[in-house]
Amino acid sequence: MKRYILKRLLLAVPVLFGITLITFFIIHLTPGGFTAVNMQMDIRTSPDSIERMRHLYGLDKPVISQYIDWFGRTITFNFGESFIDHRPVLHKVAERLPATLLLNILSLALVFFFGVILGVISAVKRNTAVDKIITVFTFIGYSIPTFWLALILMLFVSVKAGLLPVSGMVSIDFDYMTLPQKIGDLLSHLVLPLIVTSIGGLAYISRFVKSGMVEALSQQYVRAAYAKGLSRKTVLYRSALKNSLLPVITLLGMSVPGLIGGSFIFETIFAWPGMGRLAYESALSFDYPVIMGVVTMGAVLTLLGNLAADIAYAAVDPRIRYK
Amino acid sequence: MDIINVSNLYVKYAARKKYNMAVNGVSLDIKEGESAAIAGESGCGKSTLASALLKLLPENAQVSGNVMLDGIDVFAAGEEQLRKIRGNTAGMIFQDPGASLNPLFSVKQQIEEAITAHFGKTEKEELKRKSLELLSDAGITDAQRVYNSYPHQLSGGLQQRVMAAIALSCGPKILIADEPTTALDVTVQAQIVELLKKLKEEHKLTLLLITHDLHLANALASRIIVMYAGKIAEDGAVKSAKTALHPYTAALFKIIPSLDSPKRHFEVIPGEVASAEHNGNFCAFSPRCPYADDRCRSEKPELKEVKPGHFVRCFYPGGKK
Ligand SMILES: Nc1ncnc2c1ncn2[C@@H]1O[C@H](COP(=O)(O)OP(=O)(O)OP(=O)(O)O)[C@@H](O)[C@H]1O
Ligand code: SF4
Ligand SMILES: [Mg+2]
Repeated sequence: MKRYILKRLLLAVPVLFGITLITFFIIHLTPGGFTAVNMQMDIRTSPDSIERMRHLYGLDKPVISQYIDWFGRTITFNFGESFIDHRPVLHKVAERLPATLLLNILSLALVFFFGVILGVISAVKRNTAVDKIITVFTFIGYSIPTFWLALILMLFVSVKAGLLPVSGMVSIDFDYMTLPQKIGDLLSHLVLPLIVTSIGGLAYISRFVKSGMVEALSQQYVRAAYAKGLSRKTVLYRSALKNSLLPVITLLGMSVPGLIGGSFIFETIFAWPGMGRLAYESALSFDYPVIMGVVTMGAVLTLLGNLAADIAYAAVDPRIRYK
Repeated sequence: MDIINVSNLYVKYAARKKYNMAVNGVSLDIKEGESAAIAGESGCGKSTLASALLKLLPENAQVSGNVMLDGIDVFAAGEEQLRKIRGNTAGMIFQDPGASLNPLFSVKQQIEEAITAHFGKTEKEELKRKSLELLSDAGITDAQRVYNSYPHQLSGGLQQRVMAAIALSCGPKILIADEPTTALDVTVQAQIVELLKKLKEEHKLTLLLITHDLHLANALASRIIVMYAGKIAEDGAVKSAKTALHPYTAALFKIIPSLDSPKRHFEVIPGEVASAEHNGNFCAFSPRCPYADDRCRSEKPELKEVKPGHFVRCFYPGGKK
């Protein structure tokens, strides 16, 4: 088991390297660039000063040597500072991380919890009205464009009905609230972003659990479990359920990049002060060090998610644990 | 007293707007302590019959008829009574032990869940003692290691021994073994046959063996029930092709090499296996039977007692001399 985890960790290193390399090249080859966006609009800047600026930030060097510089600094945990406000990248990312983690972990938990419940009900009550209702719901949930849903919910629930805050993570007077008020305020801000970020995954996971469960129920060991005289409940929720969860674990690990990608969109729509919005803002201003900081953090989170999934998988499946 | 009593059993499977008949009117009595084997080619309905005994049929199966196990009406039983029948009255082992054990649970968990299902919550120490005893009883010498193993860490033979231990964990009177050796190596097959013999003696079991191998059937059972197209073709003590009274049984003996034969070719009886669907007025075996004549092709033979305790569904038992 220890060897297995160690192997996974070692494998993560080249992946991390690859992700940062590719991102670095893509953002540096994107038309525009830092000086074009941030200086050329200003009539006071001369070509000369642009050149000096490029030299100052090392942007005049070939991209590959810029990457080598960046990599050399980064492995000593020096992510540099923002071109825009000159604050250390590490600080900028770190202050945005909790908001993103809060939203994504809650969303994952919701997706997993309700996805498994819906999927299992659907499989156990196959071909009944309940199953059909769940199927319709998942079909809608899966095919609905989520950014559109976000806007519709904001319009009707928040703007028209005034039931929930429109955007942001906390209200302006948050600092003056008592603790229960603070929690309530945070939760009310969480509702819409959570619905929007969970609904697609929920639909997807529940379909997945359903097919896993149906598959497990057709296995010989389920018949053998009945033949032993186990009750239907035990067979369903002990013998079969565990088997049907195996593919879900892998899927959860794989869904981390999607969540991070989704954060770019939803954090921007809901003005959620997380990493996704930071990435969006820095991408617009070609703030290379910050973009790279966010990307690296995203890659690390993805790899951590995969590692967690691998460990969970091994914990559930003895065929992996005792290879 | 008959411990297994099947009367007029019909089982059909729903498949895309039609039905596949699998068991087509089987009646059968097995006495307590008897060892019987149900034999026949693939698809003749052996497993369906065995599953029906414990009401273990898949959802798309439709049954009619009656099954009594140790005096209990199986098809009329509720969930709790069914749980008792499965495990307490009859234990079952299956063809592929690797697929019959749940890959995610240890042997310990799978044997102990069977015990607790029938005896309720039991002390940990007691559970362990009992499990180890059952495993050793099933001929496992390093029971302690097997007890702590997961199915994938065991060989096929050991897996089948574990299945046998589980099947016998609640002291059933009947053991139903559906092709218990088919998925195993030849050498291991012989060991499992020995094990079943031993268990049968020690636990005074009524054994119902399902197999397509008549030699195996004879090694374990004193009574052979041969099925063809969902019906019983012959039922009695049939030791060899010579004592077989139904031409199909005789043909079955010829195609299967004996257990110790050096050549274990796969041979088949020429002609196509008849499906249980057929309801025409002719003998289902007539297209493949060397003795078939006009009568066989225009009339349906019934199961008749030809000798005491020996039933045959054929107009010309023993073939035309
Ligand atoms: N779940 C099912 N759905 C539909 N048809 C089935 C199902 N199970 C079995 N059958 C059909 O019923 C018939 C009898 O099957 P059964 O498994 O009882 O045969 P068998 O004698 O055990 O054969 P084998 O030696 O291959 O195990 C076959 O024609 C088979 O195709
Ligand atoms: S009834 Fe006729 S066709 Fe059928 S098995 Fe007997 S001899 Fe053969
Ligand atoms: Mg079978």
